[in-house]
Amino acid sequence: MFTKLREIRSRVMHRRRWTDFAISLCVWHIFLFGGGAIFTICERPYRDFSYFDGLYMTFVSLTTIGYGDFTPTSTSGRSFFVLWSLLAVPTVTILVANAQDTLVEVLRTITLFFGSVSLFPGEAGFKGEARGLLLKLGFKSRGHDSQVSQMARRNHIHQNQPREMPASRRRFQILLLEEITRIITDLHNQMPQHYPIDRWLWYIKILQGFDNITGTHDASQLRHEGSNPDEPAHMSETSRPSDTTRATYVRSQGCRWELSELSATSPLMGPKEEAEWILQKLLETLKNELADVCKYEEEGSVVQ
Amino acid sequence: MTPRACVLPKDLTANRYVSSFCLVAIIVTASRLAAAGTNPEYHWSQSYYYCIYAATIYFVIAALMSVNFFGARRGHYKHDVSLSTTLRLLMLHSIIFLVIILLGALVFARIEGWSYLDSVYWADVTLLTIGFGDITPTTTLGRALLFPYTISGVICLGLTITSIRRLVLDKGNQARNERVMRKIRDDYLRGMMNDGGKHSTSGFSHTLEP
Repeated sequence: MFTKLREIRSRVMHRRRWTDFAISLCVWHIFLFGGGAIFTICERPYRDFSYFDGLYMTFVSLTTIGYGDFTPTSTSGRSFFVLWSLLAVPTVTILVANAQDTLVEVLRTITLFFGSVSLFPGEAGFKGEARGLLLKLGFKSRGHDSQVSQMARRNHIHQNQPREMPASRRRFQILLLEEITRIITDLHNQMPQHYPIDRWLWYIKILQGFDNITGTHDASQLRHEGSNPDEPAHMSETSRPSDTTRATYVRSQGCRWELSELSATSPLMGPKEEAEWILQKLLETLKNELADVCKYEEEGSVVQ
Repeated sequence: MTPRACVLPKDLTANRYVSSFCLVAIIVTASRLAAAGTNPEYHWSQSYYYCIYAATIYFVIAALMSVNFFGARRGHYKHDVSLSTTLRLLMLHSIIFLVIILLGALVFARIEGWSYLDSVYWADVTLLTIGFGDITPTTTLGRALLFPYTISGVICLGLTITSIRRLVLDKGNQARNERVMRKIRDDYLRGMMNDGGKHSTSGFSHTLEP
């Protein structure tokens, strides 16, 4: 379910970006050809001006090259030019912005592919790179998908080993700070981070707060029920088999969400990026932990 | 403190309509007077065409304003609409850019001896960095003043374009999330119906406890 949500989201965003790009490209073409036609109509009474000349002049102006061999000389042409150029320049801007999301990504992948073939060989070899390129361009193959995701998951597992739960409250706070540092470094990368399911479960576990983990509250609130066959079996020790994949996070104040919830507060679907969301929740947890420590100290109990 | 952009009163809408009709009336009268003899030596000045464009734009804006007004009356829109910073910046930047074009054109017209609307055309071509070269400053003073004018103008153009881009990206994010939500729900429901209940429905929950 988790991977399916990811898949759906990436597919939707991919399609949406390409739709935006197509729309702005269409509008740009309307400005080009329509502008050319109108300039022809304006200039034709005064000199020999074919539609191709108008198109040429429009194109040279639109790309802000501005040779000057063809310029609008008639009054109607000049006034229309002022109006048209003030409208067309933002269109070009929006087109460039949209192109950056889509076309540039594709070109970047192609460039890297050629680089890996000729100059900088990658890890997966020629076939792996070619398949990766085709995947990015949108030709998905079912069998390859799981292989790539498994390889990616293996890499993630080696990088981020879920650690043991700390014994004391102070160590737990130190652990929270370490996780916050890690997330901040991830945020600096500026690429949207997609964390794998095991890291999410780790975060959900520590987000519960020290009391919940050590069992002073109802510790059975954390449930991970996995049924997908491609989820590896190294899940956290609190997993229990059931029919759906769901990871719940409950704090003592009663705010609750589900990882695979299809609503806006779920971190996968919400407006925030995953790293931002985790960072915010980690900071809240740390604040609550320190508030608890203050409460204990004021009441005179021993801080463990 | 973001200012509240309230729904504009009826008078302004009426004003816009009246002004657009006035402009249209001017054009029609002028064309009527001149239509008697279509002398090939005369042609319409640039102001005539600008008048047409202004009338069209005023008319469109008046129509949109009346739609806004009646829509707010019926209760379709929220009552307090606050302008986001991005929108405010975009409006201010574009106004500043236009003021730079028009005032600069006035100054250069006086210096170089061009007609005002030719100067506006020149300013537009220069500041959008197109640079045809059919009209160029020839006096020393004009060329000297070109430096600070173009620098400030191009900077303003850059500001306007950045604001537009930021606005488009902001709106894109909001729209993206709504569409993502809808798409995911539809896809999930379709998947469930196709699988015939293989996946349990408990993962698809809307329960939110605050």
